[in-house]
Order: sequence, then C-alpha cells, then structure tokens
Amino acid sequence: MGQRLVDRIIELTSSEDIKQRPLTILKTLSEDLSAQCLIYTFKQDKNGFFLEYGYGTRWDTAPSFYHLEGSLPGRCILAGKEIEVVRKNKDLESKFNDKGLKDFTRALYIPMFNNDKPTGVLCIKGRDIKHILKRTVIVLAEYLSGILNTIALLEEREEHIMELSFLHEVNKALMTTMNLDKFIYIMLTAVTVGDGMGFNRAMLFIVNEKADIIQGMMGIGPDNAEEAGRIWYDYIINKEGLFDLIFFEEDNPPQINSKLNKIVKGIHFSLNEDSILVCAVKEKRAFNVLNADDSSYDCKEIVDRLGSKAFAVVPLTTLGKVLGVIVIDNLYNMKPITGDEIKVLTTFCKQAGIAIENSLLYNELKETLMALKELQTRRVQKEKLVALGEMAATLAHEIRNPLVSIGGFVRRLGKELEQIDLRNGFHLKTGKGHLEVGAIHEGALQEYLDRIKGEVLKLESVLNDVLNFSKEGQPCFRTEDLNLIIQKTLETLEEELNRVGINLVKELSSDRLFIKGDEHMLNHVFLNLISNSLQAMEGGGTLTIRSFSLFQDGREWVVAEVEDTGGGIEPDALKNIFNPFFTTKDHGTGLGLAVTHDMVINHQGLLEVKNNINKGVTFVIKFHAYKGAADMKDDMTINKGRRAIDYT
Amino acid sequence: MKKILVVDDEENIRMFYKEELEDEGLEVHLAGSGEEALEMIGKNSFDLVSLDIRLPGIDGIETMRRIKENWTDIPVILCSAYHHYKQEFGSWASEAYVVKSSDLKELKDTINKVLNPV
Repeated sequence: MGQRLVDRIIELTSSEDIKQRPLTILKTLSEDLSAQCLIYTFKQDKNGFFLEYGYGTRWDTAPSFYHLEGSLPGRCILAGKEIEVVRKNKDLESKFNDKGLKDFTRALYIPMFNNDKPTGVLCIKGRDIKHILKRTVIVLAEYLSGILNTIALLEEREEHIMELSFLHEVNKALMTTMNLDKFIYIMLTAVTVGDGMGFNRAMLFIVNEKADIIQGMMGIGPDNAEEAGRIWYDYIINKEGLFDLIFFEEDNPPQINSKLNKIVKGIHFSLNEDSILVCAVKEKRAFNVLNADDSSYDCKEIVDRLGSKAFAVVPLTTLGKVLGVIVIDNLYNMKPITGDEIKVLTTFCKQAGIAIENSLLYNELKETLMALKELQTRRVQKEKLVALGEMAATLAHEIRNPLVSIGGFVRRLGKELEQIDLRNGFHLKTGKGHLEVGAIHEGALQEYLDRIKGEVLKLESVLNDVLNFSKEGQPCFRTEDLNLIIQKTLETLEEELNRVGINLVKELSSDRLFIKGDEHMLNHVFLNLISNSLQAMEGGGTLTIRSFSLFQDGREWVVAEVEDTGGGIEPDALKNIFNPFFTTKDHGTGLGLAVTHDMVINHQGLLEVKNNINKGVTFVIKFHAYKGAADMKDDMTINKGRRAIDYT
Repeated sequence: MKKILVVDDEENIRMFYKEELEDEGLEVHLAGSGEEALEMIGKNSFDLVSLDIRLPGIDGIETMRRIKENWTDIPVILCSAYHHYKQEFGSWASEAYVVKSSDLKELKDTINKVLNPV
C-alpha cells in the first residue's frame, strides 16, 4: 500500500509545476490517511519554523510558528530523525503544550534537510489515522524535501533575475541620456516607483570637493500623505511603469516643483562636520537608521529638514571615490527598510555612480571640446588675418594694375574726345570730318572701352576671391545631386569651352549621386577647378569630367574627377598648390584653389590632386555619400530618444 | 629721339604706357618678361629701361641686376605697384623707384630727370 501511495503521488506530481507539488503531495497524503498534513519551513534568522503549506481538517488553525527550542518540530530537527507521538493517558495538547495537537491522537514529525542544513518539518496529525507506514512517509518527506529545496533555489534565482532585470532596465534608461539632471531624475524615480524598489522618497546629495560641502541636488517624492496615497492609487489603477515615467520629450526633465525638491536643494553639509551623510561619505558605507533618536550619529539636520526619523543613507561610489549619497525613507507608509533592500540599493548605487561619473566626464569633455573648437576658430581667424596681411602685397599688384589701366585709358579717352568737336563732328587734330572721325577713331575708342571693361571684371573677381577667402560663410546644406551640379557648371562654361577649342569628355555616373552640400559653394568648387584646367590648356586640349560612387574605408563616397591635358604641375609646386597666394600663373591672387580647398573641407570632403607629369592634372574631389531616408531615420532615433537604444 | 624699354607683364599696362610715353616724344619698345627685356637690350641700345618688379620668370630686381652687370650705363627705373619698397630702393642700384599710377606723372617726371639731367 505504501509503495502504491508513493507511486501515485509521484505520478500526480511529475507533470505539475514544481511550485504546486508540495500542496498536491499534502492533499494526496491527507486524503489517503484522513489526516491533517502540514509543512513547516525553517527560517535561520528567526530560529524557528513557519507554516508554509497545509491540507486537511482544521489545517488553518495550526500554529503558524514554532521555535526551534522546545517544540516538537524543533525536537525532531535537533534529533535528526522522525518523532511520533501517540495519545496514551493525557491528551496530546496538554502533554506537549501545543495547541496544534488539540483533538489529535497521533502525530508524526519528519525533519527535512538539505545537505545537513535543516530546511523544514513534515507534520502529519490524525485522530483515527490509518496505519501509517513510517517508511513510506519518510520516503515522501525526502521527495518533498528535494522539491522544497528546488523551490527555494528557484525563488532565489527569480528574485535575483528580477533584481538584475530591473537594474538592467534602469541602466538602459540611464544610458539614453548624458544630461545629468535627467539622469538623476531617472535614478531617484527608479528607487521610488512601484516597479522599482518602491521607497516613498529618494534624495540625492552630491559631494562638492571645491567648496568642501555635500550639497542636495534633487528630491523625488510626494509632499504629503495625501499626495502619496494618490500616486500609489494612480499606480495601481494605471500601472504606470518606470519607463512611461522616464521617457518625456527631449532631454529636459519635467519641472520638479515639489516642496521636497526645494527643501533638498537648500540643504548642504560641510564635509568637516560629523553629520550622518558625511559619515557615509567618509566611511564609504551605507547606514540604515531605524530610529534617529536611538542613533549614535548626528541625524539632527535630516530629521529637522526632511522630517523623517527612519531613513537610509547609501553612498554613490565609483572606483573608490564617493560622488555623493542617496537618502531614502518611507515617511508615508512607515515601512521599515530591510537589510536586503539596502543590499539591492547599494548594488544599484554602484552602477549609478559609474553612470553619473560618465555623465560628468562626458559633460566636461563636451565643454573642453567646445573650448578647443572656439580656440581653433579664433586661431584660424588669426591665421586668416595674417594671411590677409600678406595679401596686401599681392593685392597691390592685382588691384593697382587694373586701376592704372582703367585710369589711364579713361584719361586717353578723354584726350581723344577733347580732340573731337562733337557739335560739328570735326576732329581738330587730324582735320578730318565727322564720318571719317567715326571710321578712324571708333576703333581706338572701342578698344579703350573694351580694355576698361576687361580690367573692371578682373577687379571684381579679385574682390570676390578676397571676400570668399576671408569670410566664414554660413553654408546652407541641402541634399544635392552631384551630377546636376557638374552639369550646371559645364553649361555656364559652355561658351568658354567652345571658344578655347577644348574637347570635353563627360563620364558621369548614371546613378544619382546624392550628397549634403551648399549648391552655391559646390558650383564655385567646380567652376574654379574647371577654370584652372582651361587656363592650363590655352592652346586646346581635352577636359575629362568623371563622377562615380565608391566604397572605401567602410564608407560610401561620391567622387568627382576633373582631368586636363595641360601638361601637369612642377613637382615642387605641387605641394604648395592649395596654399593661399601660391600661383604659377602670371596673374591672379593665388587664392582660387585655397578657397576651393576650404569649401571642400567645409563639406567634410577631400580634395586631392594627381599629377600626370607632361600630360596633365587630375583633381579628385570626394564627398560622403548621403543615404537619404536611411540617414534621416538614424538622426531621428538618436535625437528623440523615445525608446532606449538597443545596445545588443 | 630717346629710346626707352618698358617692361611689364600686363598687356594693358604696356599698351597704355606706350601711348602715353609716345605722346611725350619718346620711342617706346615693350617687353613682357625679364628674359625678353635682356634679349632686347642685347640687340638694341636703349637710353632707359622702366622695369616692373613683379614679373614671371626672373623678377624685376634680378633683371635689373643683370642689366647693371652687363650694361653698366643704362639707367633703370623701377616702376611698381608696391609702394612700401620705395624707402628702401636706395640700397638697390636703380636710379629711381616710381609707384605706378594712372596719370604716369611721376614716371614721366622721373624719365625726364634721368634722361635730361640738369
């Protein structure tokens, strides 16, 4: 019979969820034996047994707790073997002073161990118990013991997993921002919200080494019991999760107008004082103050300013340094803070400490970078000014010559016109009449005018070169198709090309080559490069324009090439070619290529020159390809931060 | 008639100088570079050379040096767009330094002074 019972139980439970099995076992046993069956689990820290499972008559009236000493369950554990009590003369209740034995005539206590450590006791009580095969019950107790151990392990794991997953989620949230305020807000909220650790209030104090104080930075929590109740109610009804609370727009946390926040911000302690916060910093450990009145540490300020007599202080550390402390309390529900909670909080604070340090470093880095950028800009400006100074000499030449020509020709025009009696159309000097004046002097006059026009154009272009070089220029970046830009430039130069007799070869990609650029600047770049090529091919030649996309160094590039047959550049000159004021031409400011180079740099592009000696030169311009929709989506994801970035 | 050589790389300047100086009764020859100038001086006898400083190839100063080396008695006037060398030209061997201007007055006066010393 015993074996059948065991088999039946094992069969019943094998397909069940392990957490259900203890009860199933008790039920089967209880029904089979007509007995009350109970499982007590042993709690080391309470030094006693708690009723965990029960089945059968009046099981709910069984005592919920037994001390290890002096109780029957205790005795069987201490004895290390089963104990059976049977009513003889006196009733069991009075004999053992155990209310649980009331009206029972027989009771069996079987101890359960896990590797010599007591885990609990199986208790079977009955009035008219059918004959219990002790051995059967002992076997079942062993089976049960194994199940209970597994359950305990599982629960420990589950708790661990929840803890880890919670911390993981919070860390993910923390990683979405480098904004310190938002950071702290997430952290403190994580600690107070229902899904998190659920403390009533959380406050952060940061160490300010320079001022030698510890300063309150933020406080999260309700201002009064009413508000506290409302928040919990809201939470239960709406199940507002941690993330819903955290993911507000942009990087600005909501205005924290609570009284608590204001109070916290107004608190600061000197690091030389002995207040409990300072002690937590100096000793680098947590404090759980159950009652400030009993504490040997100075908690006066906390009690006075924050109103809580029971609170915990946990330091935020990173690599041995203490950044600050978090103070938490349960002012409204008065729930005592447990050692376990302090442990979890400490782990959390370790993570948070690192995250905060990252944020602080990041911000410092950002500031340093901005300062450097500014310095760089100023230096570039200065260099430009110096270059401009040097320019004065070249300018003298480039401007004065045209001016001399213009002024001179205008003067000569004046002299010629003086000679013509306009009213009578009679040239005084030569004595010729109106018509002949026209014939002889129109040519000369026209030539003067043409030359003047030419010089003025030269002056304008010099001025433009100078302005382009010296101004910072705010480019307007849009999506542009490089092929279109090149086509447009070629159209502008069509006349010129035909005039000089250049053979144009176009090898443009049939794909659209999108880049982010300023149309005007890009036009200028190609205009300049092609003009340069044309000037090198005064006597004719071939101009080849190519465009294509290229995948190099893990990136997509859009490339354009301008190749001429102008004979190439002297190797010595090659290295100076992009320097301002360098020119191999008879005239010109030498700024054209420098400006072009600057413009390409402004587009995060590259400008290179390939010298084919005695043949010609190829300018190679490379830009980052613009991916379009794909790029835009990436921009949006990073900027909005609506969901944590997946760091897998 | 006095023969002068005007050396300048700008065609417009050359043309303008020629017309203006011819009006003054001078025979004007033109050269566009230092090399060309030296070649021409070798073949002709000029009474004066007006030299631009900024020239392609060998610059004005070098050209002047060579002129002075090979033809010691030809006066050279430096005629340039740069004006801040004016104070220093004394250390060079030119007879004068004239800053280009559209009325050529200074140039004409200087040519006069050099060709017709009192």
